[in-house]
Amino acid sequence: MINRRQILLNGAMLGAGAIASLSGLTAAAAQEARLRLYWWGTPDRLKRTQGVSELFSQKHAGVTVNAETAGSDYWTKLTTMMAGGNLPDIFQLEPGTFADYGRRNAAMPLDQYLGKTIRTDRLAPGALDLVLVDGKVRGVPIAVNACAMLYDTDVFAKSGLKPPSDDTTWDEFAKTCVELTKFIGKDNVWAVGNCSHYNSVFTAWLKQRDKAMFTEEGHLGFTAEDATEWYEYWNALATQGGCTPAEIQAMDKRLVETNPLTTGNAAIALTYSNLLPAYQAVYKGPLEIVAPPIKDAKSPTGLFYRPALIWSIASTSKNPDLAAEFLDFFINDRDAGKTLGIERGVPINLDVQQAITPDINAIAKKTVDFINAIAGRVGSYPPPIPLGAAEFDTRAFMPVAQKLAFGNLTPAEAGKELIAQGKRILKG
Amino acid sequence: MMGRGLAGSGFRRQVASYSFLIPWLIGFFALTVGPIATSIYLSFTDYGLMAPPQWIGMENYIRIASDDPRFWTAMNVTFTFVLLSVPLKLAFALAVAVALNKGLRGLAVFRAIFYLPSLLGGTVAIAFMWRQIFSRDGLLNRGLEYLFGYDGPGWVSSPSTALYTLVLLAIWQFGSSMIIFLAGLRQIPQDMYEAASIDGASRARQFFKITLPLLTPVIFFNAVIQTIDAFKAFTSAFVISGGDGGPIDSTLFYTLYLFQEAFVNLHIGYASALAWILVIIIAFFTALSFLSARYWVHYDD
Repeated sequence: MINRRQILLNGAMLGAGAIASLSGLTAAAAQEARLRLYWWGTPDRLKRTQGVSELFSQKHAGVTVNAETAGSDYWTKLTTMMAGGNLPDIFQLEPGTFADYGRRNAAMPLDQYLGKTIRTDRLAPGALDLVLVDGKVRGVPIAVNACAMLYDTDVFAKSGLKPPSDDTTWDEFAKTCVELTKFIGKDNVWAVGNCSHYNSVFTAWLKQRDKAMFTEEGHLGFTAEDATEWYEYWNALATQGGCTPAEIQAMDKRLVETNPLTTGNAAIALTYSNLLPAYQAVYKGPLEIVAPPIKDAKSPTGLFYRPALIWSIASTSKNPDLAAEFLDFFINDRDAGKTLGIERGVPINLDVQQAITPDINAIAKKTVDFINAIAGRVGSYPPPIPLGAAEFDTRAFMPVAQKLAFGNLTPAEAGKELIAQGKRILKG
Repeated sequence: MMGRGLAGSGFRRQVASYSFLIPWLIGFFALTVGPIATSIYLSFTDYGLMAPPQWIGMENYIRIASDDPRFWTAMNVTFTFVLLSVPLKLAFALAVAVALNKGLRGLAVFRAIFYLPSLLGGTVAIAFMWRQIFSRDGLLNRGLEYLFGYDGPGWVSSPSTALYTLVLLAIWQFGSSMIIFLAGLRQIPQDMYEAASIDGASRARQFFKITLPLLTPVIFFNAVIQTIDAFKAFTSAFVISGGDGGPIDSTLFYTLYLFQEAFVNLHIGYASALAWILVIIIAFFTALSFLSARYWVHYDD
């Protein structure tokens, strides 16, 4: 018969066993460091990033780098992990959300590592200015890119239309799109996707008018009239049949996979320069890259170099030193650079950029050439975006564009609505 | 002596049973009661994940009621969905159950086939498939064009039809209600129908005078379960809209709005308040159905 003493004794032994095995585990964990790396992107990016992780592990015995990736649910997962206090050691950000995570202190300041663990002497000039949040460096830019336009050269050659170039104005572009759509003459195919919900293109548009999305103080940098002009442009283009209608636009979540160019609904895409290889991988016609349309020859081009992607280290990371070493390896090591190619953009390290140029394919070379060609025409980098900018995007900029496309708002109403929502979200 | 022995063994028996329950109790308190209590507390705070929660009293609730147009959009979408999907699903499930109850050969096979969507319907893969079928150049529109030369809209991507594709998806998952209806139909004594047909009652009259009244307890059960499920619907809208409840918030289910506030906009406190309002709404409707039950649900005994 079992009595209480026996149960207690058994329990104690079980407990002791559990503790013993647990302590064994922690001892093992201390010897073998593990870094968690989290990003979004294509399978190609996964392959390349894992390649760098393996190179890093070879040079650091006992270190394993665990890859975690996500798609359009990336941000949801990231914030959920943030809420649970188990952020990955290193995670990927982009300029639109970077400042939010920096100010919320999810991304730790890296100033203590700069010039030491993370070498900065060969980075492109001004590279670290792109990752400043309130005076502190909260991440490492992986590569630079710029707003760009991709088009199918075959379709243009067949149509006899003049393909867009670096000095094409928005008005000329609209005419071309209407003509091109007519030439293509297929159901469900237009020249370009309606981009009224593309914050990247709107930023360039505003910069061409000496305005900005956000001011230094964190307020909206444009007026209702500016927004109305933008909405009128896309509305007119949609009405004339030059860009995709509302139902197609609604499916475009501003990802490579959802862009009308990828889904076979368009022959032109407004996007970022580093995405040319990604688009070319899924698009059958040959693509060419040019700068987005301009206002006129006298106005600024609206172009600027931006950190295509940013690696940040979680402020809760248990291995920040090792994580910093990994970041240094990722951006400064030549072999790492060769493995990565230009998949995330043109390398931020000038030596690496030179080292990889002979090996990259023609498509990749086009993006490097594009970045170098616009050097004389780029403006300054916009000030860091304010807290709540991401919410402004999801709760104001995207929905207002949708309401406009479906005809629930006129361009003038949409302009006012965007400003009203923006003031509410940004509190001023 | 004997009394003490009994008490001792009773206590011992309880210790034994509770110790077997420990894993469940730990789970219950750590994973259910704990989070529930935390969310009550958080609903009275301003909490953005990185900084500790700040007590702000009733402010979240006041803002929901007075200054949040999207809350009302979400309520509108959710109630439309519940009011359409629950009755239609139950009616469809009952119709199929009645048909299957006719003593069809291979009943087990049909039952299994009809039940299948209920197993799969809530999954991400099916939601993706739905999006493909109802997209602008999807299966449905290709079929329509081929058969009738009709060029259909993008059903999932236009705000006037997107919600109805979700209603359709919900109805398609009628299996579990159907199984329960089928079991209920089997319970109805055959001699009642025999008596009714001897008296000359038509099929329709038999259905409305015998089948429906005797089935009311089962209908009631199904209605309550399905209503609660419909209020909690999330996955289909999340996948089909790409997570934003679009186009133009036309599929912004309450749960989806709550999720967005919590994990996209990082308003955890506000989202907790939204969650508690949903609890109150569901509790209210469940209570209402139980109160109404005495007027229309007939129990045998």
